[in-house]
Amino acid sequence: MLHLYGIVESPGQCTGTGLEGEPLASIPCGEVAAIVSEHTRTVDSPPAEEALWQHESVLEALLEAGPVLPVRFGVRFADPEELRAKIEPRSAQFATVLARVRGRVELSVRLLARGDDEARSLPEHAGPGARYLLGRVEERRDAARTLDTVRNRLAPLAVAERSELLPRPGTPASAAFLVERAALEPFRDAARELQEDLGDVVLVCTGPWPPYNFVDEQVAEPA
Amino acid sequence: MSQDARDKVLVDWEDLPRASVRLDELSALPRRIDADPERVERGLAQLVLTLIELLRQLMERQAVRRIDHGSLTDDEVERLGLAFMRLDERMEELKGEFGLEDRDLNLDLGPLGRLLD
Amino acid sequence: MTAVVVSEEAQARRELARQVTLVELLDRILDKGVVISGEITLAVAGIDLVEVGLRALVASVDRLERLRPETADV
Repeated sequence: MLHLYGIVESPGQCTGTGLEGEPLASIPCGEVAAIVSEHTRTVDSPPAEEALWQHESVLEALLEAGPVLPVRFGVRFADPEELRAKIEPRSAQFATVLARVRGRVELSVRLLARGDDEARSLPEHAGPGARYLLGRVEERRDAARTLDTVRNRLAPLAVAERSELLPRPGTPASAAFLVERAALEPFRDAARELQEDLGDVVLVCTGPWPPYNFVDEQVAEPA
Repeated sequence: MSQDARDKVLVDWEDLPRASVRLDELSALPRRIDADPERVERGLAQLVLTLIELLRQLMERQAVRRIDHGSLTDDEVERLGLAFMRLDERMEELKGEFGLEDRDLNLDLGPLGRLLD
Repeated sequence: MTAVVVSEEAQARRELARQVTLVELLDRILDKGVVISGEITLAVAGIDLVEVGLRALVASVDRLERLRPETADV
């Protein structure tokens, strides 16, 4: 059984060990190569935190050597033939996306609501049902405004951006920015400044990450 | 960059402790269904409630959008709001009955989860 | 591990920072990144089988929304 970590440009770009200390191997698939490790038993479900970190650290090591498309944890194949059959037909697409993420990393910005829902000014005549829903409307508007501010300040420092409004309760927005390595420091400075200006939400900025959010929709979700 | 590979916080912030309460709610490890055969019932309830919660959120978001566009009357807003409130309350009861928490309903539903724009 | 005396506060901060990072990792590693369709066999019981099956459902919900975007009752 082969556990797939990521897709890289050339088979040479492969170092270190994978899950459960198994060695990494690369399998050429058309214009790209797949980085895998071989296992005799299936990975526990839910996966142990250690396993997730191991997957991540393999990707980070690959990222040091060149562009990599991170694969979601848990993608596995019976043998190299099966893997090639799945990846080779899309290898040109993967190569295009790899070229786009070259020299770039992903930075994450998550906005968290401070404390509990603050009281919002709602029409006094409104009934309980309307108050409930209008509260949601206001929450959404506030979140959209905050996300706009974040975008205006940070997007100019990035080459691409993906964001989600109210991904979960208490999270007004989350965003991922694809940033040139050279722009890492300026981005961090801008995020720090922005954080001071965002009174009512906490800004959480993490990275650098492999470009999980920039693997291209078309490649990620074939019809 | 930090020397600790598992600390990727780029910008330190003062009230991290307050934010961490929210983060705790997001804790995603239990997002996959409980496969323990002894507790299949709970696992099934978890799956069903997750789907209901997803649909509830989907409908609520749609309602919020329509209100935002001004395409609903005051009366419609009130009726809808009451329905969502009741559904919310009922969900709380059901979660209690099966010993589930909000984060248990945060299952990874893959593409379905992405319906929530 | 180096034996450095770390203040309690610094240690709490480090714990929190790692927790924050873990949340972001989970969000990415389980939900984002390249998906090779139909090959997620992580879970034995239930959810991943369901996930694959749900693709069809998602497609039909999408179609439904496009058919009656405004007239559909919420």
